[in-house]
Amino acid sequence: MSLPKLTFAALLLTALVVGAILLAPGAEIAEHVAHPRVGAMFAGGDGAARHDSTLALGWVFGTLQLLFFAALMALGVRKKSSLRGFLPTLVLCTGVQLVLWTSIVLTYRSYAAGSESVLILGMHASTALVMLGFWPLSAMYTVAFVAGFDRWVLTPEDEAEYERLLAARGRSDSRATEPS
Amino acid sequence: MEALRTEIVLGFVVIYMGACIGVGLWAMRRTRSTRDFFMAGRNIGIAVTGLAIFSSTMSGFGFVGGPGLVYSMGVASIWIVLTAAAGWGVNDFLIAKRLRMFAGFFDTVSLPDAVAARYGNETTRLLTALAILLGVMGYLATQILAMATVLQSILQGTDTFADVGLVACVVVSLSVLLFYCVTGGILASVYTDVFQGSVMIVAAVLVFIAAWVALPGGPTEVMQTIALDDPEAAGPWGTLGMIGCLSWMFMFAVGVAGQPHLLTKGMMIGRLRDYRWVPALTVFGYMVASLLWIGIGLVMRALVLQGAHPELATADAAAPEFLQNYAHPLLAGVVIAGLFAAIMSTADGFLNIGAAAIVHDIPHALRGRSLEHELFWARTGTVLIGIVAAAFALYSHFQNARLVALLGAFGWGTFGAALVPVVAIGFNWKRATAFAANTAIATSLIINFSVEVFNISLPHNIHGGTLALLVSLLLFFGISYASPPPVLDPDVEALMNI
Repeated sequence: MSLPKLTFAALLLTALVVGAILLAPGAEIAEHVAHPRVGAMFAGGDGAARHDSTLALGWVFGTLQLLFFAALMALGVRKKSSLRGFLPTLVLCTGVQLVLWTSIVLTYRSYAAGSESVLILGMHASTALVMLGFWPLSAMYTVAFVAGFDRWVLTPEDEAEYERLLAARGRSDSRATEPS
Repeated sequence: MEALRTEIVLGFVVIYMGACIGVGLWAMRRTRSTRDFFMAGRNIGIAVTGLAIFSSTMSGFGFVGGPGLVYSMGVASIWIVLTAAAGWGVNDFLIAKRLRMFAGFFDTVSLPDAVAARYGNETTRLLTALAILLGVMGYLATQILAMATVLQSILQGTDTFADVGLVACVVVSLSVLLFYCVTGGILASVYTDVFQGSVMIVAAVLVFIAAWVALPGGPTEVMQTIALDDPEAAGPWGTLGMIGCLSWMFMFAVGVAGQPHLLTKGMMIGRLRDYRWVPALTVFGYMVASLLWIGIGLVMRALVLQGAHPELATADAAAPEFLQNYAHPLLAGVVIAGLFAAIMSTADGFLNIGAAAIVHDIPHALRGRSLEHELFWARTGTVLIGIVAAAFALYSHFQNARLVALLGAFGWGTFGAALVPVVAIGFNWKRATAFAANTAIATSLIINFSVEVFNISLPHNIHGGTLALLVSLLLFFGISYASPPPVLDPDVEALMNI
């Protein structure tokens, strides 16, 4: 399957899941409510009850999003010669994010059910996974961009081809390909 | 020193504004053409590009609205900031190189210019420019109002300016903004962004430290206080719930690739290969500045819940109250200057792309050519947009508060929904058609406006911008697949092959 078709497929599945969420029961208790004591503050209430109909759908929604992001990045690289080198890194980064994402949902399920858990800096495991794992590790893609730039994003051949096109058109992009 | 708190804060603000004016004067001598005014001569370096993109991303919302969101909803809004890092990854792999190549090859001065070159269609240029202009007016009005409100609150603390009105504060702050934007164009904007971004990073680190020592037990005490009161608020989705957070993640991460003020700054870098280091600076700056957003919000929620601080009148008061009560006067001065920096660095980018839309893109789409004396009209257009946005902000403030909110909704989500398919996908997919692009832009504007005008709230806290983005992407793919493959200009095809 071509990359645009793969991206479109991920998008269609995401739309189906969003449709299922829109139709899922329990929308009336999913909303947060005004805090009982303090103004300008909300309270979440019973987490297990308000996520009862959407926790599994939410996991699928999050998973599809991570796959959609990966498909978009692959679409940006897309030349076979570059993609061959980029794919293992992309799969690794996305795999790590998917494992973290699944762990967040699973640990949250036990948190919402009221079970005790190890606290990290006062945070429940699910919150700690978001704050100390999912968030900082989302910068992995940027690290990959920096590390693989001249192999996957802009190869010397790409620069030469750009220069050739400019020359053929009689244009100048004076600094674009000048040596560092 | 505590007795001089207001004077110290005011001093920092005056120094900051003076620096902005100085940069404007410096840049004026280097701005000789429209390409200089809108594209900084496509000649800027790594640090300037990286910091300019970061500081334009973190608007006043990040310094005031962000802590307010955490105060009111707990951990929920981390799904906005965490997705920015992933979003930059998507954006950089997807579009950064190609957009810069199009800019250099077709000598474009704006994003709609590049879009017109890609699709060979003036309607697509017009719709892109209109989407940008609508978004700019809303965003800019909110930024101007925020700038004036902060200045008024500082001045009212002094004896001399205790009775200063909001209109006077709009005039003063807008004058500084317009001065450096008119004299130095985007060149002044990106160089003030460097200064502004640096101030924001320093302010965020210092405030984060101050926030965590505000309670004796540090982060542990903060999180346990919040969890004891309402476990959901300290959970991974905050009070908003899982689906609301995921809806934000989709809109903010994918939406990065459709923000015209950020994409335009990426098109200005001189050497193509220098872009390699830009995302590192952008993501680092954004993640560090986010510490202020999260730190202040969580600490103020814990302090109020403990009864150690009085209840806040509004959630947006979280940051000002924290600075007033828990920050050293010198730190408060740096942070307030950082707040102005956050607001102005976003506003100047909007002024510039808005001016490009009215003096370059819309005339080009309607008449097939640009205006004569374009640089003069660019400067005039900048002033005009600033004045109209300020008038709109004031009218809205005094007469109809919903107006700014209405166009303010034409912010991140609307730019994302309108431009991600057209730019991020369309520049990477030869099968994309101009008709699909036009339909995607028009539909996204209609959905976003309808959700806002009719005050529609979707079940399970799904954001209207998320729905608009999803629909516009589906239409873009669907219509392109259903149409015959377009015949591309050979140069466009060659550029898309690289």
